[in-house]
Amino acid sequence: MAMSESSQENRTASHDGPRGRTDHHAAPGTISIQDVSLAYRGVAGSLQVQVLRDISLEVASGEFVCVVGASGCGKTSLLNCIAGLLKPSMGSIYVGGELVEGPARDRGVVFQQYALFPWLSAIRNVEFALEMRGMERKDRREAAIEYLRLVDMERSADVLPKALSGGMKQRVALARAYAAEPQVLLMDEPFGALDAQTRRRLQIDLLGTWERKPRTVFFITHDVEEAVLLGGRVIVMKASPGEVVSEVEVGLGTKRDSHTLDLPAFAEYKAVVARSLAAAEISTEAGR
Amino acid sequence: MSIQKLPRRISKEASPPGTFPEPEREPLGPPASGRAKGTRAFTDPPVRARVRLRVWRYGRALLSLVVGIGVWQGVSIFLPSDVASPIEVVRVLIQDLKDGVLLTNTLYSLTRVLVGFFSGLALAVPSAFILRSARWLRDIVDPWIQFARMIPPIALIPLVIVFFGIGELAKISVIFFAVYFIGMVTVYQGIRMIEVVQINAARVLGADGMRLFRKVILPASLPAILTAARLGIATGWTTLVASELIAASHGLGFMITQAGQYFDLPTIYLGIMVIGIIGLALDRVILRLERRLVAWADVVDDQGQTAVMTSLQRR
Repeated sequence: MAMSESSQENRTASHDGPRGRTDHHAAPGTISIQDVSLAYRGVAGSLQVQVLRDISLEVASGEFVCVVGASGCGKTSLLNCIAGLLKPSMGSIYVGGELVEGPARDRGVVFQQYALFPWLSAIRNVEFALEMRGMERKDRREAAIEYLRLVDMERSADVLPKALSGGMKQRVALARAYAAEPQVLLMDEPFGALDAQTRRRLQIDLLGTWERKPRTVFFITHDVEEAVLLGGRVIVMKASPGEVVSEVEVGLGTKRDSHTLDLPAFAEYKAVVARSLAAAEISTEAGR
Repeated sequence: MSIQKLPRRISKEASPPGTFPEPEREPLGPPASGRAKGTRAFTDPPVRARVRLRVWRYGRALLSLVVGIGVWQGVSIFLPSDVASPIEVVRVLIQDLKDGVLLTNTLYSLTRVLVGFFSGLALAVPSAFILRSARWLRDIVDPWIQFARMIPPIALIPLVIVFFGIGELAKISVIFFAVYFIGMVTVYQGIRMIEVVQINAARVLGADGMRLFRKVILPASLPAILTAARLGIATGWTTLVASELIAASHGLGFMITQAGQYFDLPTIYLGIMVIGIIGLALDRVILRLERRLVAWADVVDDQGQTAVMTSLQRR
């Protein structure tokens, strides 16, 4: 964490939420979102745009949670709050029992726009994460190769991002996020910009990577199929203001692959989530 | 900041619409660091055609030179009292090279422009970063920057003479003025367009403060800095020669003025040629540097247009 211990302690003292800075039952890798609201100041300064309202969520360590919702429902804002890139107007977020006060290495983010550093080759992008972790220069390359191997990209180690396809860029971005060894992985529509086939391949590969290197994953998407295929639990959000309307436990087991798509239960879960999402959209319309 | 337009000079070199952005290359076959045999993209022309293309490109450059000098020679025959022939100019060139006049004048001009250029750019880059980071300062300073940008450096020469006399400092300060403003505005625009998502990516990986600046913001602004350098050297060079026309006892501009007083046509033409060639050479040096240092940028085309430069023009 970038902040000094003492400043955190001070904040704890003045923090009058239901829990203190550390949470007695919070194991590493848990996410606890408590009554989070987020409002942007409108144009005139007086008008407030409510983006998120009273969101409370608990994510267990090692869980793969997908959040679906129409665009504009604030799901990316919620992710940015967990990442520490946005500050909630009200409520608090704990990751591994620690209050989120800014971006830090314990929460890795994979962005939709890849966000690789274009002046660094694939492996150097991964090494960047290792360097920030404080790894010695001499150990970095070898370690970085391992992370690239995790996403099957070790053969393109020395290629610049501009020469990589979208899918390959996102693989490298995932390797870079893993290289920071975060407690939780936050993924913001990571496959949203990819074509259907590439997306499917990356989804299956992500399941494989997750199985080999389990992490808590908080995955945002607008694609119901993707959410059901990947998530152990799917959270449905509605827009204006962004609220959680329902949760669906996806009982397809933790071991999933491309065959999961053919299961009759898969289609059923998909239908359940889709119905819930449709209902959420209707309630949004009604609220307008 | 209301800096929206760059000088027209570079927009002339802009790649035609539709050539940017370059389509993302989707490699055929399995991902590999090198292109595997048989997976060459079908858009690549065969080797022989590529060689022919290259020969034709050099051929055209040669043709351009021959035609240019030919036209010059032709015109000089019809207008002998206005245009010195290339042959005469070469004769003067050889003579001026022998007695060292040309070299001295060139060195004077080059030194002035390089000192002004480097000091101007060295100050422009930090200024741009400071302006970017402090909004209140920007609001105070920006109107004056806009104001100063509209003053042709040459218009300052009389004032510069009052302040610094006609010594070296006077000329260098004019160049400095020219390079500083164009450099700062260009770098500022460039760093304004650093993608937020890249900075966020670095922050979630644990980069902050000086490390974020050194490892992410600085490399991300390199294309803009090099664009600023290229614009700066061009502006600096043209400004310098103009300032030497007015008040100097050495330099290429002075050489032309002096030759004009004696109606020494070949020397005038020689001076013009040398100014043009050196300007071109300076530009090519920075272009080379740009290609080498920011090869990672999405597009560096024949004109050395980087993605930043192109997006600057699109604004």
